[in-house]
Amino acid sequence: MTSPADRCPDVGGELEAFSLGQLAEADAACVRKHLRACASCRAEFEEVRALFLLADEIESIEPTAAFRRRMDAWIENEVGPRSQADRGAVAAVLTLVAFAGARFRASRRFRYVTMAAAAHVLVLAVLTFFVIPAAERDRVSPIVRALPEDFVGRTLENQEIADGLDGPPIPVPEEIVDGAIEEILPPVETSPRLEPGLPDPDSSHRRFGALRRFPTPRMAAYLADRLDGERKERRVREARGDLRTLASIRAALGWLAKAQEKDGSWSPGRGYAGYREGVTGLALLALLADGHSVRRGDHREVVARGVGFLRRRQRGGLIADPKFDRPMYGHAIATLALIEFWGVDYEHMTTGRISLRRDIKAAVEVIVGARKADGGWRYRPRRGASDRTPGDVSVTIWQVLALSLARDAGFSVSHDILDDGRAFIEARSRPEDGAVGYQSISDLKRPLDATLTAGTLLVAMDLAFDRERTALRRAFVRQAVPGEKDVRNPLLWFYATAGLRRHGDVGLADWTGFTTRTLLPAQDADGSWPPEALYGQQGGRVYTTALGALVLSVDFRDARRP
Amino acid sequence: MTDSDVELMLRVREGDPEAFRLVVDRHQKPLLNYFYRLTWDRQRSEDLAQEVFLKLYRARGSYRPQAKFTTYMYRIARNLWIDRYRSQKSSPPETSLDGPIGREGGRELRLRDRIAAPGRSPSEEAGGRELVRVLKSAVLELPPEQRQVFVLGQFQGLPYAAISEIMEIPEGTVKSRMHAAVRRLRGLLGRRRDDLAG
Repeated sequence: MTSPADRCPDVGGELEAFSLGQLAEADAACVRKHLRACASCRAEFEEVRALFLLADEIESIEPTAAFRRRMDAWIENEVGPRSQADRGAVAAVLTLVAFAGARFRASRRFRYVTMAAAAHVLVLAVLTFFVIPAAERDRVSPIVRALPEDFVGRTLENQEIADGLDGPPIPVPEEIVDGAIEEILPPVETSPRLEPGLPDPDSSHRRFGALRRFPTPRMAAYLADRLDGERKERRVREARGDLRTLASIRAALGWLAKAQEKDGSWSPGRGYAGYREGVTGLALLALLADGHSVRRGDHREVVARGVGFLRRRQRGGLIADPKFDRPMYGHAIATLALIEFWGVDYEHMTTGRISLRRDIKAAVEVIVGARKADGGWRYRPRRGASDRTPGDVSVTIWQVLALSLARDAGFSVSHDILDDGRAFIEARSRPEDGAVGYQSISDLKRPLDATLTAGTLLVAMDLAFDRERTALRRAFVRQAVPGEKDVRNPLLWFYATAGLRRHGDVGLADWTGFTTRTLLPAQDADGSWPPEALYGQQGGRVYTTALGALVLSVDFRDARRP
Repeated sequence: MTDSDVELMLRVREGDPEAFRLVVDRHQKPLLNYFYRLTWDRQRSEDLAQEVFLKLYRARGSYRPQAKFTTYMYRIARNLWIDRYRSQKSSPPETSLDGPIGREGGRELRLRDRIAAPGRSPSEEAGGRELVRVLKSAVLELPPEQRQVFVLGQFQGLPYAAISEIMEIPEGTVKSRMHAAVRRLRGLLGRRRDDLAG
């Protein structure tokens, strides 16, 4: 018996590969196009995807302590002896065991010696487990490897990451605790425009409560450079000739770590209090860009606390101060940070995946529901069908960045939403050079036009802009390298460098030279960048510092996608 | 700075035991899960994983960095599993949909009894662990070559090109085997649901 998809020449036998993300983009586009038009293939696709989602629910197993010990013993015999330090550690433990065995027979004086030795070993063990960074544990001591699997998990995660991964119960959309949110948050509903094309994969999630396969190939590619130290350094050398910017990033992240508040957030200082979630998202993005996570790098607890703060702030899906009435910038940035965090740490999470996924999904749904009637986004979410407030390109860029990364990470985002986003921006761009205005072409003025045009270039692949139009924008951004006297605009620098890099544009070299020349000497001794910059007044020093680090991280933050 | 797998294996070839420890540390979990998803038997998976490392180590002298290390490793693993599968083909599978999973109220309890347990709505059943169990059993009912492709592609998340190299078959065959595996699994799951509905 053949299924409808088998009879259909366009997608026969391709649905599994499509569902697993195994098709080249051109082939995937063909399948997507076909699925929009063919109801029976869509139904088939739903079934295939549902099966994969169910398969994702099957548990992974961890090597048990017994297995690790067995492997250690086997390697010891088969391969060769441990290093001197390891042998010393084992000898210490054996000695301790011997002392313990003799404890009852020994004299009182001998017992004191025994207890002193035991105390030393205990101190050594505590130092090993709590002080030595996780990255070094594996090569430090076989004792650690022989411990129960969850021992290390108990040291850091349960104390510091509890809020981040397994914190308080996840608020469901109905549980809106603050009336202020109800006013600004429209009901998250499935818009009729959401699903005329591809089926909503989350119907499969509803069926099985399952997780999609992760990391998806696109997400893995997105994160590849930053997670491989060697590749990262190579990318920086290729781009800048030396590694000075890595030191600068390290200093900036060090400052951010110190500037983090007790609740895990970062403050916009004298800027808008409502931007706390946004600047927290930016700070996290800067840390994640350099490969830091709860399992990697020097700022594991900082990342964990930051993520915990954002998740605690989430109500009804929206990540924002309940009293703040312009939450969409911050919400999108915070959503981006959570998705990146999920991408970097997902494979290492033994618990908390489902709840974190639910939070991200709810955050994505808020963005989808907040879309204005014209297909763009504005500071505030849409208030029902009668809301005719026009969107603006600046807010829209961040929502598209979040939606696009969510889609790459395997979340359900209808193509129609992104299609509408493209149409929204195109309607506000100048045909001759691709420059983009804030809410209409008549808004075009410097420096915002360069910023918005660069931002549009950054999301060009996500929105599948016309090639010719993208080429115009590349040329526009290439020539927009600021002069000495231009206002400092780290947002423009971020958009322009990341956008040009995504396109593999030769003009990136000029921008790279500019950012190196500008940012390195301007960095304060404490690692931060002064807030005297465009939007610095609103976002404070955290804004300029996080963006500065992100700008310098462009060489390895987002894989090139020409 | 992290050494690549190939660099580590070259160090292993030159007799560096620490490099081999790193290889084991890095790959024991994926390898363990590869075998676990082929057998759903932890003990057997541990034995097989250890045997792969043994083979890797003993063949270190002839290691040539011609392919990605994981491809090389999975090829050894896949060949080992095929050998074991052939030698144990006559024995019954470890888990069966209709096999006993315990006793309840003095009678033998089968997996389908668990699925059909009263008091659970269909959506609860679908979202529950039982369906996962059914799928796990269904995976065991796949022909070995389809099972390999499904495990490597779906569970291990390897690209079709890598699976093609590991299994030494064309990429088109990987695609068709995955298609056949998925269709078969859907059929098996569908039949179970029909059984329940009936």
